[in-house]
Amino acid sequence: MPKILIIDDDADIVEATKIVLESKGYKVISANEGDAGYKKAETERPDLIILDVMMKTKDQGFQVSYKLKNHPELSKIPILMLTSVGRETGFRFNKETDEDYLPVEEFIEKPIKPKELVARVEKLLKAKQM
Amino acid sequence: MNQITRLREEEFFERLEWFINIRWATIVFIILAALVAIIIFKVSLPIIPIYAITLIIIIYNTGFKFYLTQIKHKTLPTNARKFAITQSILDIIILTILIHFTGGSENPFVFYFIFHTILTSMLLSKRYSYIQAGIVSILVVGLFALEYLEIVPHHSIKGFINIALYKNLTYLAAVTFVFISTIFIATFFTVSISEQLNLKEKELKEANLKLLEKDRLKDEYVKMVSHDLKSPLASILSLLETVTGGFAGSIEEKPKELLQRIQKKVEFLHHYTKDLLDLSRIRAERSLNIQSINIKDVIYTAAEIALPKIGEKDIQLNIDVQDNISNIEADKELLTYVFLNLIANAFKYTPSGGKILVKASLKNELLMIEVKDTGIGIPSEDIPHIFEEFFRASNVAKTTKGTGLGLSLVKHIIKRHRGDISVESKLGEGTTFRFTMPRNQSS
Repeated sequence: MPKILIIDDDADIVEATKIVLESKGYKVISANEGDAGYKKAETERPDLIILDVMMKTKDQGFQVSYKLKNHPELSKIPILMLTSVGRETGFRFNKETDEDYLPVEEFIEKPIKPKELVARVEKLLKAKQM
Repeated sequence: MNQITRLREEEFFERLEWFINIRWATIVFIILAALVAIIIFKVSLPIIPIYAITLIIIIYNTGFKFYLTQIKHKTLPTNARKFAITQSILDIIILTILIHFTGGSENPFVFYFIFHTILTSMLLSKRYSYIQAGIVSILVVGLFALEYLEIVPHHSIKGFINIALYKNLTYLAAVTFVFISTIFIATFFTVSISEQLNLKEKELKEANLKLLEKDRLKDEYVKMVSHDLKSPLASILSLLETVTGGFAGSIEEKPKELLQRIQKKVEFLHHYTKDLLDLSRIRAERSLNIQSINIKDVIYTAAEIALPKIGEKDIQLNIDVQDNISNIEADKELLTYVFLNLIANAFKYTPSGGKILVKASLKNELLMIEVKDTGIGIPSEDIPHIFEEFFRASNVAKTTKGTGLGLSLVKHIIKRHRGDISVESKLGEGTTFRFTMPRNQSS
């Protein structure tokens, strides 16, 4: 079964995500901070990373995603970014028109809606296999 | 700038310009007064020196005008101050010479120096204003003395005063006394009044700055509080959804129903804090991030987010963007927020089977947007208040959840884009929001 890494400093969000994804049979590992999450990605080589934006700093998630996408191998791992929609992160939906488009595959809004989460995860993993 | 003048730089330049304009008026006055005196009152005036002096004033005023446009945006305040003093001294000298050629102590226009004194005292510092009053007094009284002592020739105004008043010591003493006291009293009044005005202005400015800072702090505070409230609410909701969705194990009907009720309330709280956060954040933002954007993309993005969940409601949404609108200038995030709010509102207050139309067109470089629904409408007495913060229409206040912040923010954003929004609505038939804003924000 695919392995998913959750990087978020909110233990409740990690727990909720874990329960939902494990119920679907995924193997879930987690890190409660960006740098630790990056190290875990290096050693564990997950199939998908769920990444929070605001952790130690306001944009640690962005920095981690840039680091991951610039890594020769880790860059292939799809990233699902956890955001609070709105001005905290800004709308960066369009790859073609937004210069500062984030190098992540998908966004999901907090609070986490289980069905939506599962659907996004399945979609990303499927796209990765192809 | 406090040394020589009490005015702000901007005002200082404005006054300098004003000075130059007054000088033009003075030139016209001298020419006309001389003509009237000579032609109508048959007074014999030395026309050549008078017009020669006028010509000199015209020349130096033209020079000043040119110099002012040159230095206006680049000079140091010290240079501007020197410039003001130069003008003032030059005026005093030239007017004294003019007085000399037009009767000296016998010319009543000598008292017109009071206007010069008032004008320059408004521009310059207290100290310099008094120095200037001294210079005026010395020059003018000096002229009286020199003419009296016949060191310089006296030009009498025949046809006006036919006795040699300039030789009359009692008259000279009286004129000198009245002249000097007039100049110094005028300086004193002008300086005190403008000092008081400046003090008041300074106080007002300080009070205004304090208010602005307080407002900013308030926004900052609301932002902080709502952010700190929002995160845990999002966590609570995530956990609740996990439990009510049965992901953490099966759950019986009754506890599930209770948890769902909790969920609904928390959802509202979360929504509320999100709106408060948006409000304080957008209000706290000082400048817009203007960029060229595709209006079609913005509308589609907003519609996608606002769309109700599948199966929740059956509403037909049409988006009609006129072909000739390519890109417009706006803050993309904020404009998305505007559409998101208007479209989400339309969905919220339109029953199943209804229609929503979003229309964008361009007329005379003005972007015109219409968001029209066939929803429940707004009662006519509520329409004037619909854009007020925390206001909710009476027909929805009890039945649906909402914060009453969305539309006030929408209006705020449109106003900041130099646009305007209006609403038209009929109870039970539908509501149309229309807004316009210039296509180019920079022009």
